Amino acid sequence: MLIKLAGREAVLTRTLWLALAALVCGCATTTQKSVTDWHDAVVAVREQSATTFRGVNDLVREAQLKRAADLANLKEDDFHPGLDAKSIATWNRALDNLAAYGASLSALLSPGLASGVGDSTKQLGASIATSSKSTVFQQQPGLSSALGKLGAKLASLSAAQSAQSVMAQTNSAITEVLDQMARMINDDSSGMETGILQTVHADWTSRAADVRAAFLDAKTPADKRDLAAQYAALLEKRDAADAALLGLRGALLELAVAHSRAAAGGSMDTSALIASIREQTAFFKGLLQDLKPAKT
Amino acid sequence: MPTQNESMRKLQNALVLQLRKLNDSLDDVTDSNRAQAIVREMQEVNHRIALTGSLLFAAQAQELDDKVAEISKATKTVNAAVADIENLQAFLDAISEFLGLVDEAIDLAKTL
Repeated sequence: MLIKLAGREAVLTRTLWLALAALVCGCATTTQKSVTDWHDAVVAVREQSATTFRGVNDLVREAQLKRAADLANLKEDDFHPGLDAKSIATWNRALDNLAAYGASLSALLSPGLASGVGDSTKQLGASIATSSKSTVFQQQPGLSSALGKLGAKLASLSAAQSAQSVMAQTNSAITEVLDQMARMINDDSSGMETGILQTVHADWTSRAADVRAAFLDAKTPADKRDLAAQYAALLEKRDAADAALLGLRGALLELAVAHSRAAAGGSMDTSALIASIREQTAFFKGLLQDLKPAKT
Repeated sequence: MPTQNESMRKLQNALVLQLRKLNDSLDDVTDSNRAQAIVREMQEVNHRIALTGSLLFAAQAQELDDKVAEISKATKTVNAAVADIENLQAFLDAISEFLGLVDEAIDLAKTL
């Protein structure tokens, strides 16, 4: 009887090691780090868009004040916000939902979650052995740890499969939301050009046109030079604003591409994106500073 | 029939083209008064570009809200999967504890 039991334990041990080896060699799946990077990129895009939208609204307001000088009376429409608070809140809500989704995926893929199951499996194995008076764990000291690893690996695989399945199911919604947001920044489809970028570009062009008209009244070469320098600076700012907005648009599309890649079983890597987002945000931060009224 | 967003896009695009044309016309102007008149016209077109842009942004944001519900649903599914694994751990811990109690009971019974 004892020999029979010892034989059964040996078979069990061999099976356990084989199962563990097979699971460890399993295919690569989305890692927690890449999901966390994606979540961080969403949060960075939220910050980037908040700064950008403040800059857009300040630009629009400046243009409205300048236009008011030529108006006979004032109407509410003359001071319509560039981007209204309700729509900005909706935009932020979309990014908050994406960030919450990323955080949940990250929690699901957390090694801590799987290792907790591993520890409990190990503990349960030890309890069963004690209850059944088995000495298998004394005879094979590594078995207890292997049992724990098997439990952790099974939990981790289950988590990865759940994450993969949710990502595949949600991918079209995520892509649609991020594409829509990118179109809100700039939409050049159907042979038209529309969006926030057009508002900002038109504003800088109008500012530059002011200087072009003033140039015609310049009396001295020095005045002309000064106005030419102002004109060149405004064109540079217009290009920088365009680049920053196209950068935000690109970041939104990149987030969608990274999610699609992960949903198809590939990498979700967006680590390089965060650095580029921070760079692009700098322009509108500088602009906000420039548009602040001078302290008297 | 074009949607509200499409109509708004067409309008903003037409204004953008108009502004570009006015700006280009400044290339050949040398008379200051004429230039000032064009700049004032550009200011008006620019104001309307911002206005249509704002209305378009608001309409697109509303569409966005409808699509976001799907993501919120997915987050709930992921949270349920996390809870499943946590429940599994709690279940394994409970069995371990139960076996420990059984062993204690057996040991106690042996002493009786």
